Amino acid sequence: MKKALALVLTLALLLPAAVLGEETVDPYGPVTDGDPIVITVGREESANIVYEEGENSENNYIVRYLEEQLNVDYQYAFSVDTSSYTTKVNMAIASGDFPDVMNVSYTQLVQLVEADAIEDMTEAFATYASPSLRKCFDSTDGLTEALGTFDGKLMGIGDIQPGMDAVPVLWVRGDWLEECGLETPQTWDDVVNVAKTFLEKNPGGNVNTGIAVSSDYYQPNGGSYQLNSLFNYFGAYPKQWITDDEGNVVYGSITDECREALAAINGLVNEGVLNASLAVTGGDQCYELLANGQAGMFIGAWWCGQYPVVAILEGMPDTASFVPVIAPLNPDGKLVVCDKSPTNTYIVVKKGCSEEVKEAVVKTINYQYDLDQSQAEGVRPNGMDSNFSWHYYPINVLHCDFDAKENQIADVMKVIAGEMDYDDQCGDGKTWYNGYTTVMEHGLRYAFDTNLATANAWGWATGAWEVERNADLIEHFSEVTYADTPSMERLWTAMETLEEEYFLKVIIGEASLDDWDDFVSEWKSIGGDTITAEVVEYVTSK
Amino acid sequence: MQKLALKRRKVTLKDTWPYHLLILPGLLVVLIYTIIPFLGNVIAFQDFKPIMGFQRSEWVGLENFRYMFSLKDTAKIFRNSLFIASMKLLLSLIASIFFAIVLHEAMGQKVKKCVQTICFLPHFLSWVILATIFKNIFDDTGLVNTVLVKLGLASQSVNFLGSNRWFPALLIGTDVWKEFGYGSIIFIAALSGINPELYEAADIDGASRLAKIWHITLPGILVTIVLVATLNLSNILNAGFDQVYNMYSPVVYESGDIIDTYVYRMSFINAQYSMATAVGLLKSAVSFILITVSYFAADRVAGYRLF
Repeated sequence: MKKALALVLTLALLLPAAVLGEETVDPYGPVTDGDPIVITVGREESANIVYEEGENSENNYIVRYLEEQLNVDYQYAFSVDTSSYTTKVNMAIASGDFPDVMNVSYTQLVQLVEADAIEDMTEAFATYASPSLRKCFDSTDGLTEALGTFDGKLMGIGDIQPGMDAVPVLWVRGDWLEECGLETPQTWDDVVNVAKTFLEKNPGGNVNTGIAVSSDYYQPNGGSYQLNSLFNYFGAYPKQWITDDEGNVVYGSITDECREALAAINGLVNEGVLNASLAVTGGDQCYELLANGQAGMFIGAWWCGQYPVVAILEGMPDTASFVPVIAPLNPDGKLVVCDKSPTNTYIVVKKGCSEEVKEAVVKTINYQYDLDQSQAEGVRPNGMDSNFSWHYYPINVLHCDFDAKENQIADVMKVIAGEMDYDDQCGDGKTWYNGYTTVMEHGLRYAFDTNLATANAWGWATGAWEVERNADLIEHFSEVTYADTPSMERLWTAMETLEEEYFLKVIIGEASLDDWDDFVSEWKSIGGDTITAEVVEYVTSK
Repeated sequence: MQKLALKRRKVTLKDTWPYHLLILPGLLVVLIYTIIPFLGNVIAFQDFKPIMGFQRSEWVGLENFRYMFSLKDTAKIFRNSLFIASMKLLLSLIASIFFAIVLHEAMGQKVKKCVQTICFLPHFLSWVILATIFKNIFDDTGLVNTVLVKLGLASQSVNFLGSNRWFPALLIGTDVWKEFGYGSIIFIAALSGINPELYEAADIDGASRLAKIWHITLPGILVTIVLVATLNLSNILNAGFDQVYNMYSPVVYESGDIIDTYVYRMSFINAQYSMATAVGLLKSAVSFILITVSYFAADRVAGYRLF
């Protein structure tokens, strides 16, 4: 499979070269010598991003740098908040008036392909993708390209996000553990015990929540304020397509393990460890709970070490701390994680765009990947003190090796141990190294007072290190497929709502698990059987 | 003699066309915003893909309706909408009438104006703002729960926003609170139109206050009450999108999900335009039947006709 892919890609690479004669393609060269090529962009915007003074998402040093390098002019047709982006794109597609380039969900991609509304990017990607970007795509074993390919044509260029996001980390107030004389929790009972002790002994004075959880309680792609590891403890993988013990393809939300996990989590609600109001709690409220000292624990991805942890600690006394822990471990002493899909969004180019636009899009991604690797070292106006985020990119999509974070933090630790040269790290690794060592040496308050970026880098590094350090405790497996099947487009909405409603109700005790069989049979009857059959077919056809 | 001639003269379009012209703007608005979009309902019979448009999307007949009826959600959202909307209509009507009569009976002019203005105010606040306020008040650790627990009326805080028992009551209660003041305007106006001599006569007969309300005030505004109730019936399936959308969550879909929020989620969030249109069309059909029935009922019961 991989060989065949490589062969195809080599051929594809050779083909345009043959057409163009011996002329070599510079994946970083300007798109045109004449007037700048105008590219209209539809993008999503993240609210928490800090820009340099006077700059914004459309006018910042990264955008200007790319415009200069590629001789293009990015014009934002729309740039809307993440929360409303899908709706915005749906509207844009519905009206038929959408920008040259935007990123879309898989469902939207399928629609656009069916309607023949977007350009085939096969050739442009094969011609202009830089070797490093190619390496990045190879880190997913061809999965990302396969997802974006229809009838052998690459229609959407998928993003690639770090796989480490899917590993749930338990974040616990370290100072409270000490105050209550508790050990770092490891097993399920430990975790429950810590939560109960926090509630009982009330360190800080106003603890009323054991674990801060939002209504988005299970996040296959990683996130924060979730319950992923509590589900995983029972071998439950809701919302994910897995194989059961007999090797059958099954939807994770309807397994017996899932039922067991729900029962246990409902038990936690009854015991007061989790708050029944989690069903109506948003992420912001969870942040408040932690920042006000009402809760001392939450579960989230490695990057939570930066947000919310660093953000919370900044406003707390210096004694406060959060400890990342890989817990609860199952009776075998493992945390078994179902990997996320590296790709959740696809860059598409509108039908009828010129070859230059397609070229510019691929080259923009080349630059964006490299900028993430180097963390824009050398491009930032005031050295590494300037703010930077991948959300500065004109095409607001991350390309990052699937195993980037594991490698990066491993390198940082090697440098600290003196086994590797500082300069051999990637740019992001350097910022982590600097942040981590600075905080280790001078404390977190010093970092807050001098440069918040250092504190942030420390936060990321601590989270990533906890995951990497415990790599042998974490078992990984993949979902059987990350693609949507044809019937999902129509049937999935109602099925998803059914599941979401029932699960939340069971968790907070509004519905009983006695209805579990009814739930499963209804799920099957309103589309579950059809879609399971499609997934099985898809999996066996591969 | 002249009068008679005038009466007999036939009214022709030639004489009255300027008046007809006056309703043209209104007709155009109806045409553009109601009649033409109504044609869009065809997508309920298609597997509509926005990008393909009406022409290229596949026709699927009644498939969307079949699917719709196969979902338990459909009955649920109609039930919820009907219950929430009719309770809102009924209770705010009662509250408005009660408020108007109390104002009419009990207050001096200055106090009356003052109270009236204060009670109007919530009507002008958007649900986006009010929902946030109510969510805070009825929150786990909010005002209401704190009071309940401190007073010992509840052993632990009540999850108002996440409980299917409480959520509809919360919706109805807050809506009545928001709208009763505004709704009372028309009754206050009607009350001032009652002939004072009737009260004087009743006083002479030695009628008590309650007797006067029962025998003079209420009959005096009965026509207005029936009118308002009938006009409100057109909203019998509009349970209040902005309110519900800003206050609900998946846990209370069972009791709080209404047609409008369901259609919104289906279409704008999940891009299931055909299905959403089918539900919307069913809503129109059911509304039409309910309105027709209530219209004739109003005619039968109170002798009131709109047309």
